[in-house]
Parts: sequence; structure tokens; C-alpha cells
Amino acid sequence: VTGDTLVHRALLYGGEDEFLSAAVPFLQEGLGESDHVLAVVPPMNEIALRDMLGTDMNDVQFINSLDFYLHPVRTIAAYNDVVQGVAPRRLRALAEPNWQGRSALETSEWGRYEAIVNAAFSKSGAQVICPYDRRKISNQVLNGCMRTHPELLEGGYYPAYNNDYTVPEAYNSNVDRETLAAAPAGVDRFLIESADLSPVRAFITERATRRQMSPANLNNLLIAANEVATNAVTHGTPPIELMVWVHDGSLICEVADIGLWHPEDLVGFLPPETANSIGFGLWGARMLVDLIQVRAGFNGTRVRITTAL
Amino acid sequence: MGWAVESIRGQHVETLNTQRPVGDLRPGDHAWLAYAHPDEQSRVLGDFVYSGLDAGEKIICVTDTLPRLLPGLLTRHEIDVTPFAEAGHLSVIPWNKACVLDGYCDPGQMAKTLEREIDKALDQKFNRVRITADMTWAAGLPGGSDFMLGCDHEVDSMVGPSTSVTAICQVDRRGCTPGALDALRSTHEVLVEVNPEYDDGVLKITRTYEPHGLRLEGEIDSARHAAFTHTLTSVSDPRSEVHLELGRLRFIDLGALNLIGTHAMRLTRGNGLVLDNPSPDLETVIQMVGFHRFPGITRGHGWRSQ
Repeated sequence: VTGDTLVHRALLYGGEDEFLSAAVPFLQEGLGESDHVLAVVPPMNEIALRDMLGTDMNDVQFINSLDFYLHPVRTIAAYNDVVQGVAPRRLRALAEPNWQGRSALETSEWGRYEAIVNAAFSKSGAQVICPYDRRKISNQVLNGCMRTHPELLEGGYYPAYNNDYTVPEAYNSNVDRETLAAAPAGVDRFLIESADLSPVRAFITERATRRQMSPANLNNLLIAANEVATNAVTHGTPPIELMVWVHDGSLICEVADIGLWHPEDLVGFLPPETANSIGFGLWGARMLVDLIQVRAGFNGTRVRITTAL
Repeated sequence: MGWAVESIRGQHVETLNTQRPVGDLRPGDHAWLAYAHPDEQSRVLGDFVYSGLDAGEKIICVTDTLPRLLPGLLTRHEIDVTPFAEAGHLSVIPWNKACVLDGYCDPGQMAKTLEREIDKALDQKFNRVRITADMTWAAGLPGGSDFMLGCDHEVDSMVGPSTSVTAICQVDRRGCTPGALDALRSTHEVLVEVNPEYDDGVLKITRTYEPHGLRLEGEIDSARHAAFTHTLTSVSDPRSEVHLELGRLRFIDLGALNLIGTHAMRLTRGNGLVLDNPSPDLETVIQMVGFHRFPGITRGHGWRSQ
């Protein structure tokens, strides 16, 4: 199965009938072909699917999408674990991310997630349909959907090629061009001048502890921030500055240098095979905190880490 | 006296002893070394005797060997100490001369011998005296444990109040019963161990011999990767397991985890690198990035998950 091409289709539905008429045959086909069949959908759609599938539903693994789509990088890793865990069987997934109540920033990151699926599982042979409820999604979500799925299901059984599809590398670098909100005036600053980062960790610890960050979150933040700072010290151009501030219930740590960094496309999003693989560091850092944003250009490189307090 | 957590055969045992590197011993310390490997003995004793000679202190060794064969001097410090023995800086006293009274080994007699030697040294204008006593020969004999305990008691009452004498009593732990080891340990306030391989105030790396490996204390980041790799390589042997004791490691960066992963595959040929007692935070990190991404690493003692 490995080596087979990924199928990644968007199903744009306007009602339950439309949803079921595409989803049910898709799942049943998988059962017929002995795929590992997974339905990651909201509770309402799970109920509808169970009614239609009858006894077949016992062979379908249901997961509540509200519990599954919490962190884009972790979700990719979780799907990767599933793909590897069920091999040599093929994964067939009905995968409906949760778009309600997402901020513009979150929507953007989940759009990136949809793009990266194309790269992460390109040779897995996985069969994936992502249902989008046309009645509920915003234009931003719809735009993302159209650019991240090579094929569309819009009524009818046969998919249409999607001319708006963008290769994941291009989509990814577009997301990384969105402007970051400026750091507020009066942020705490620390000049990083040495590979010995223990003063950097002490600086962050002091500020996080003052704002009552939980010890577990702090530990993860320290590892992520240390990784980003190490990268700046190793590859960046001094002066390297750390800025720390609080925004919207999160502690923001930003490491900036004046070097020009070309982040290798998608590295840091794709789950590495082992800890020895290229990209383990940045990917590991992304796994540990809520969000890492990279902005690289001719005026320097900025990496912003967001961790809930 | 402080509480120390000593890792014995991988289990955490709380003992009322202070664990101290040989380089940190001070006058008045009556330390105990139960070595698990000849290398451990030669590192501790070699460093103890060498630095004593270096500082112009008097060395008294109660052992049945020639001066130049004292552990760790020729091999580790590449010096033949025979001239020091001839010049009176170093006295090697065989056990039969040190403790035999009327044909029996007598702890009291040993105390008298040592007292005489110490007085002589201080009269000769030595300011400090270092004593080592190798008791392994007694461990296997009937009544050997009682003799060792008797000697320890005598040495303790001699060294404890002293401001000029430091002593190490040593025994090969492989020759002792667990009961005898427990009894001997409890008579020593200080447990001596090898000097750290690396210590920059943030990270300390110390060799361990039971189990074989390293103990990491403090914080590892990229500024310390080279030292970590170097020491890890120095204890690695494709034929044996290497344990990393992590109980006192407060921070480890992803790069060091990567190094551990690379090392596990290369130098121990898989499944040879055992991680013991990770902090709950470290265990969470390893879980989050996936334990399966560390082929060649085995979970040792003190893991909450298996």
C-alpha cells in the first residue's frame, strides 16, 4: 500500500442528505476493500452515519472531531501514527475538522494543516474525504478548502478536479507571509549572546512563573524556546533578541535576529521518522507549544512562540 | 549530614549518607567506597592519592601491594610513586604489619598503627594526612564483616574529630554479602564516588558503575552537547548496556534527545541505552514527541508509563 497515491477530497455539503449520500458509499467501499475505516466527525454527523450504516457501523472507528482537532501539528502526528499503526492496511478516513468558533489565526493554521496533509501522506495510499458544511463555514474556511484539496465532491458520486488547488509548499509559505501583530510597547527584552542558554531559560521562567503558568506548560515552553534560540544562535546573525509579553491569556516569546533564513519547506510540520531525522528539533518544538510562527525575510527572522498561561 | 538519594542497582534507596566526589573530600571525612568495577576503584583511589601527593600531603595506604601498583596511579595518572614512598611522602603498610596482634587481626592494633603513622607524619611537618584502607581481603573470610566494622569504628573515631586527616575505606562490593554492605554503609557518613567527568556549574556528568553509565545533573543545552557526546562515547561499549540516570536532570533540550537517539543506534547497536528515572516533565515530552521516535532506547527504572 505504501507508495500509493493519497486521495484527498473535499466534500462540500449543504445538508444531511448530501453529506450522507457521499459519505456512506465512501465508508462502505472501504469496508469492502478491507481498509481501516475511520470517521472523525462531529457528534451530529456520527449519529446520522450510524443510522445509515446499520451493522456496518461496527467496523467503522468513530472519533469525535471536537476532541481530535485541537492542535494542527499534533493532529498530523496522530494521523501519521494511525497510518503507520494500521499498515499494511490502507487508511480510509472521513475527516471533518471543527471550524466553528475559530479565530482568523486558528483558521489560517488549520488551513495550513489541510495543505500539509497532501505532503505528509502523499505516498501513504490513504483515502481521505474532508466534509465541509457549506451552511456553517466562513469565506476564509471555504477559500482554504478550495486551495488545499486536489479534488472536490460537489453533489454526485464522482469527484471533480479542483483548479484552485495550490501545492502545499506554496500554501505554506503564503501562510507564513501573513502579518504578525506587532509586539506591544514595553515588552521584556533579553539579548542572547552565547550558546549557553541557561540565562535565557531563567529569564523566561521568571516571567512565566510570575504569570502563574503551569509547571507542565512552562517545561514545554522552555524546551521549545530553547530550541528556537539554539537555532538562532547556530544559524542566525546577531544581534539575537528575545522578547516576552502577555497577549490574550498566552505568554508570547519571540526570538528575532537579523539573518535571512529560508525555512525549508514544510520541515517542522511533517512528523520525522525518528528523533535523528532532519527537522526533529523544530517539529518537536511545534508539538510542545500551542503555536510557533516563523517570519523570515530580508529584514531578519522572527520566530514567535505562543503558550497558554 | 544530609540526605542523599543513592541509586543502587537502579532502585532509589534513601540513605543517611552524603555522597561526595573524591575531589570534594575534606579533613574529618571518613568516606566509604564500595566499588563495583576496578576502574571505579582506580579513579577514586588514583585521584585521591595523586592529588594528595600533589598538595604535599602525607599518604598512608593500608594494602597488600607495592607502591607503584596502587590503583589508578600508573594507569590513570601515569606516575610511578616509588620515589614518593622512598622519600616518606607515601607509606604503604601491609595488613599483617598494620593489624596483627598475637597472630590475630585486631582492629585496635590497626588503630594504634595508624595513630603512630599519623603522629609521625604531623611531626615531619606534613599538615594533612590521607589514609586509604583496602578491606576486600577480609570480606570473604569468616568473621571478616565484624573485623571490617571494627576497623571502621576505630578509623571513624580517629578521623571524625580530626582537622587534618581524610580517610577512604574501600571494599569490592562483589566480594561482600548484601547484609555486610548495608552494615558497612551505615557506619560511614560519607560515600565517596568518582570525580565528575564534566562540571561547569550548570551540567554535571558523573560515571556510574552499578549500573554502568552516566548520571546527569542540572541542565543540558547545545553549549554542553560536545561534553555530553564525549562522555557518552567514553562509557559506551557495544557489548554492554549504558544507563543514563536522569533523576536530577532539570532540563534537556531537543538536540540532546536527538544525540541520545543517534548514540543509541550507533554505539550500543540498539536497545543498549537505558534511561532511568526521568522527571515527570521529561517523560511527558518524550511521550508527546513519541517514544517510537527513539529506536534503541529502553525505558529503565522510574518510568510512570511502560
